[in-house]
Amino acid sequence: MSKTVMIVDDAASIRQVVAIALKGAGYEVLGACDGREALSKLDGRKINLVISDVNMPNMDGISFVKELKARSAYKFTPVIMLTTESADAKKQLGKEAGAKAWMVKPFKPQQMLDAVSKLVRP
Amino acid sequence: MTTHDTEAPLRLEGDLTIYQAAELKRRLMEFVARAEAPGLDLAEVTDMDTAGLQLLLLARRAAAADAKPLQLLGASPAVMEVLALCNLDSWLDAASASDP
Amino acid sequence: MNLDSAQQTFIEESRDLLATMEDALLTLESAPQDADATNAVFRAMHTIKGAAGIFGFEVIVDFTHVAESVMDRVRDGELAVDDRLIALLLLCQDHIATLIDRVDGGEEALDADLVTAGDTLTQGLRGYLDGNATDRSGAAPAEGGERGGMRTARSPAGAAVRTEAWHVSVRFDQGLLRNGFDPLAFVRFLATLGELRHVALIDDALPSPESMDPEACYLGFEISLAGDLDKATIESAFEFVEADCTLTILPPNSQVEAYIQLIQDLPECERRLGEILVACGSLTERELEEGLNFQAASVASAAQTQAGAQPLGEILVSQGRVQPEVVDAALAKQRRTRDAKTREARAIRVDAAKLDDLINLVGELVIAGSAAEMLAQRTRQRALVEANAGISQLVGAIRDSALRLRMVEIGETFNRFRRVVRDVSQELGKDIGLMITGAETELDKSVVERIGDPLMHLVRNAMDHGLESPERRLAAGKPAQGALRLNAYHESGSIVIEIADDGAGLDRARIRAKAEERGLIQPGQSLSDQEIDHLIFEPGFSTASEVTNLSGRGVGMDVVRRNIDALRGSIGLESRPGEGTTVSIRLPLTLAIIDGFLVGVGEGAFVIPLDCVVECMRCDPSETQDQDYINLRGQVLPFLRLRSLFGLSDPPPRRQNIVVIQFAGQRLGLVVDRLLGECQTVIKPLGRLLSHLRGFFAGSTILGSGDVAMILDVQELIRTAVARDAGAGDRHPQVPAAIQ
Repeated sequence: MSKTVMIVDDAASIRQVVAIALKGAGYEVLGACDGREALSKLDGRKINLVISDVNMPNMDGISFVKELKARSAYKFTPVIMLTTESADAKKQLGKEAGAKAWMVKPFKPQQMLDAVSKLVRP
Repeated sequence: MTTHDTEAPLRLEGDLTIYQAAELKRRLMEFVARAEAPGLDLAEVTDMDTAGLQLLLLARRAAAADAKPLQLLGASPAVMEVLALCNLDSWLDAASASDP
Repeated sequence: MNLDSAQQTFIEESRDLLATMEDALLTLESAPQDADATNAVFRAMHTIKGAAGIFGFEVIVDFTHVAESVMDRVRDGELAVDDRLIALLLLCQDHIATLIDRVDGGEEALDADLVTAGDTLTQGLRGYLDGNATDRSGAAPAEGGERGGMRTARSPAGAAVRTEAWHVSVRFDQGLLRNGFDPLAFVRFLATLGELRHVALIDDALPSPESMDPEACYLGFEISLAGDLDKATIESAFEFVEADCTLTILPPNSQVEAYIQLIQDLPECERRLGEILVACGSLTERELEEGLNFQAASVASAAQTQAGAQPLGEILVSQGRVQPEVVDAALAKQRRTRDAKTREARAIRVDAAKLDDLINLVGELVIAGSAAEMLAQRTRQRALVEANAGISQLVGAIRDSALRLRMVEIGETFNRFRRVVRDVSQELGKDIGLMITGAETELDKSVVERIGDPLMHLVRNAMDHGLESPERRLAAGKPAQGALRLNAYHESGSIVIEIADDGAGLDRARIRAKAEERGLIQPGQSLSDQEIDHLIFEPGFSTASEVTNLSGRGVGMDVVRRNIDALRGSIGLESRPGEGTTVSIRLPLTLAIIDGFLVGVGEGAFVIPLDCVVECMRCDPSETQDQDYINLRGQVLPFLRLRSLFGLSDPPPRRQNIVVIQFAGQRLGLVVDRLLGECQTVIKPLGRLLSHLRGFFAGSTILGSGDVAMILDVQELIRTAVARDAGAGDRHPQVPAAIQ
């Protein structure tokens, strides 16, 4: 049974790159353009990993992660936050929200693949 | 087949992950305490993570404390993969070895 | 986390280690093969380096690292110890001491001189490493940096293991799973990097079912990974959980010691870990055995040279436990070492303030005990009196024990002079041998602390002025090497410290001339040899024709005497021209509690230190009325009338007593009214109000009855009597105002 990864980013290009890379490695990919859309897609189905940007309209990444972790079906879901700045303040907020892994944009697709394979959980 | 066929093994299905961990612990411990020759059937397990593995180990230890070997009677591919990764396949082999 | 008190411990510990290092280096001078001494120096550097690292004192770490590397080579037999190296290491020891002083003084910045000095020394040390140096700053590729929860296993000297595979050891923190991570994923990732030769799952931390949290992580792994890899790649498998795990990576062909270190650092039982490593193929059975044995030997020598003290690093960081077998090996070796070192190992550090508190309490106990005893005696109830006597005995024993806690051997102080004598004799171009006797003689801690400076001055004096140059000595028919002797012993309640040299002795003619020049004596005044000798204690006196660097700056013997006086001690001189000089310092053994002899004069009570009391006898006032001395068994015994001394005007009782006291070989009788028997007293120093009386009183005390008694200063009384008699004999009798 293949694992499902969700990518949440307001930039379509990013979603696309991630989808291609991960699908090529055998993962199922779900996309959302912001936190709100992402939450609506989390209907109880199993998500093995979430990759989310920080700065997004409607609902930013940190609020999204907080919401996500509040749902019992998803409270242990690993989250990789994407960011352009290595702003520690954001990182701390993210950590507190439940995001324990970070990746800096721009990243190479292989980097993302590696990260996913380390973090995706059964 | 187990030597004590009066006793049914515990059959676990679906995911054995951290999401099921709390409930799983309760079921396993209760089973191990109750059964005289506890056996686990994991053939229908879809996924297992570290939390699940830990509980299996915990159950094995608890059984051993009562001088009862915890046997693995069936393992799905997901379970086998984890056991093999951690060099625990002998556990599975032991069960099949005792099959007449 | 406040590390202040830990830092204080670090400073003290480092100073102790530096002292040990110095002793060891001096031992190596005469016995270059001494393995114990070599180890001692190595361990001193090693331990200071480790602890300094915890506190972030990088400068100290970097400096000691080079010295440690050099000593490592010496330990392995790759480098031989010679005088040049020892001299260099002694300088390094001084440098480190200075750095430690800086830490103690709270100074963060180093001045340019210190930096230069350090660099020079480091360069000198590097000369002994020539290319084999494991430079800390330029880390070899196989060793990575130190990051968060990841440690790099350093590869110390030792045999390399045979396995070609990397060894990865990881223990995960409990909260890992809740954060969404799964260790199995990391192991799977490692499998994509290379060949997983062996994976051992460590579930030792799994608790009992009752306490097990199903959402917590209790697992760890020992993995053997083969492949063309580098450390960074392997570490990247754990990049997201850097802070949530303890990771150690050993490259292929690491030294056995690295594995042993890993075994000791991990929380699980050593034997089991050893088995696991062998099962992983990372270590062979033989490598494991040899490694553990080597470690046992190092632990043993560490225990031997460090008196069993735990390095600070271990206290703060380590989870390691040593296997009983290893400890046994260490103990077995320790038993074979010298007694002195074994005794050291049983010592513990005690806060000086706590000790003082205890002594104070004991003092109060002594007084309370006396009071109880007195009351008991008044009741005349046999059982009660006996019970109290029993208590008094125990209290006395406790008092003695407590006081003994404050006693330290003077040997420690004497030993410091080995270095001084060595350095100064080189500076002066004289060959001087130091002999130390009586090092086990004990004295009160507070006295020890204050005796160092005066001793230093006297030793330097002896070397500078007392001992002649080798040429002059040979011409005089003496051996070229001058003999300097430090000696200590107990005598009648005091400790006597002697500094003796076999030099030219005091030049009395010169002293006389100088004294006349300074107006201290009249020309033509007749003085005994002793009196001439004692002139050197006069302020501003120095007969050195040139003021050398060391002594004779006019800050001289008078300061020494003042220091000794402040300690309620006395200083004596004995000099034989052409043969040598001996300076003796006499100090009270304890400053706190004494056994005393109580006497009554008028309405007051006075305590005479029991050690100074020789005998007592009845005396008839008619005998003592007209003269100041009596005939005691054919010898003249001068006496002082305490009544007169203390200005008591009422008529004396019909019967009086004489208490014969003695101090420094001089005897004196004290005429008192009543003899009141022995007592234990706690010396309370004279307050400011009474300080003008200090002349005759060493302090005061509270008797069991609640009354205050003054403690007589025996030394001062004798001095007074001597002065009186000298005055009466030589000049027109001028009795000092106090004695009338």
